[in-house]
Amino acid sequence: MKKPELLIIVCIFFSLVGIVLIYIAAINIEPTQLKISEISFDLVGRSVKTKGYISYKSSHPNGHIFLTLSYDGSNIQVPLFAGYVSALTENDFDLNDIQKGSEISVEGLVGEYRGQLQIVPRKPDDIKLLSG
Amino acid sequence: MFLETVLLVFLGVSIGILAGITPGIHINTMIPLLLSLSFLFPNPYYIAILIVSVSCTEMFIDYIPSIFIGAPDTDTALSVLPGHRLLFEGRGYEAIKLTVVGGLGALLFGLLTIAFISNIFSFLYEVSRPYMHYIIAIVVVFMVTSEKKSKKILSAVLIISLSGFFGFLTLNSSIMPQEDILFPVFTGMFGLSGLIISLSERSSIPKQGNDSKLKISKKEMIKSIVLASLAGIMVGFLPAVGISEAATMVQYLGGSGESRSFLITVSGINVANDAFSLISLYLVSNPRSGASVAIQKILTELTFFDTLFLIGVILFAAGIAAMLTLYLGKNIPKFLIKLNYRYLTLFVITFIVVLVFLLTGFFGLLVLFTSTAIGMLCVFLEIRRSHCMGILLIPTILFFAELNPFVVSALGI
Repeated sequence: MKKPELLIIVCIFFSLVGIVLIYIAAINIEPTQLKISEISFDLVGRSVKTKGYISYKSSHPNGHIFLTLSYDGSNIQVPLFAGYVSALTENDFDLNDIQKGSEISVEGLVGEYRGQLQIVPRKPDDIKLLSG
Repeated sequence: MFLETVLLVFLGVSIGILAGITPGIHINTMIPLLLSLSFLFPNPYYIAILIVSVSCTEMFIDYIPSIFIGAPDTDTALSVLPGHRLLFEGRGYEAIKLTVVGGLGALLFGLLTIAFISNIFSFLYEVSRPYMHYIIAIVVVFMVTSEKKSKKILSAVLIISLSGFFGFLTLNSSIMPQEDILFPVFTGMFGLSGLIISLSERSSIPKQGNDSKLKISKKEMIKSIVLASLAGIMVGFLPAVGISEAATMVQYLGGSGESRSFLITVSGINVANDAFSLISLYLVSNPRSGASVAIQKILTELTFFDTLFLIGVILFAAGIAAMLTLYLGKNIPKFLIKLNYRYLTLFVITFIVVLVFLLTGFFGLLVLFTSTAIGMLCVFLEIRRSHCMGILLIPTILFFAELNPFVVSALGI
């Protein structure tokens, strides 16, 4: 086998090993369960799970839904982007369940938008209705 | 405010020089550090001036390590081969001079162009958003087919697929904060991979000549600057499309493949894009660079006069940075030539690995290791390393196609 071909195989092998290891880590990382008041800017980029009551809901013409989740006097934004809303409906999630006053649990990545904290859910089962 | 602005620009330029000259350090690495110093500045505009000055200076200085040491970051990665070609001819300083000409020229021409198109930019931005995944997909197809030979096209598909999957996995999982991920990714793909390969190939920096005359016609120079300005704006317009893709497209469409015009183009796109990302923040509230994300955090709402003021800061910092780049570009090689290139490269590799570990931890090292292997694969397959940008292009296509939740679900991450 020529040297460049061997190097190509070695590089492909190491790339795949790295991707597999990262994949194994990604599927095994459990989100940290926190109260809304415990979610801080230090957690930006981390996966968390929290629960609260919907205190504000607005729908954007492009299909996005913006929620504010509140619990014990603390608030956090939960943006549901159009793609995510489509995924929810395709998974038989009734969007009418997401109403002001409903209690839900949300899992997702902590983000920051214009100085405010938000949790961005990524997959359909990241949002669960606890009580209507 | 005037005196404070001047002093802060000088401070920013000084920090930018240190960061630019240090291989592997990018403005996005510096921003968290600069933001952590906010408490020292009573006025939020002070920290904004500092960030803009550091960012602008790094755009110019970055070419010194990328040409003379061969440790580029993502924005200068594509310039390594043309820059090295001139370095081997003993014309490393001319290469630096060309990047300065490209940077300053595209900054001025780009600002003039933006002034004319700013009124229609918001409209174009809104109209194109529903079709953004198609536009980016066209860019990907262009990148792949520009390799021309079928074997290389297949290799490019392999790299884009591999880096695309790797990018989706890292950007959508919580193995480490998203804002930290791109540092080990780009350092590995465009920095460490080249350094490891050069370690086995080169033992010294070639002796440099004294002739610093630019061996490029005025017509070719102006054409490269104009194309770079337009491409810099395009990069600011299209998410995930980077400097490297834009430079490749411009070179292809402009019918120019010469090293000198290439260096002007890459540097021009880089600087024009830096200025445009700030203007994009004002026009459509969408920051398109690490520096403009930080500016948005600090100033929240950017007004017309804020934008004008910060453009003034960019022009002032660019002028000083350009002069200092020429000075350092002439004198640093005299010092580097005396060093053993292999030891210098080994030192830089060690420095980068330690820095990645300190800033991003164990998972950062794993990401660095994987992205280095993908970057080296490109070199051995003899295709452009810019195909590694699949790491951003594929996740962005999926995001705009609204497929992210389905893919995340399918992968179970």
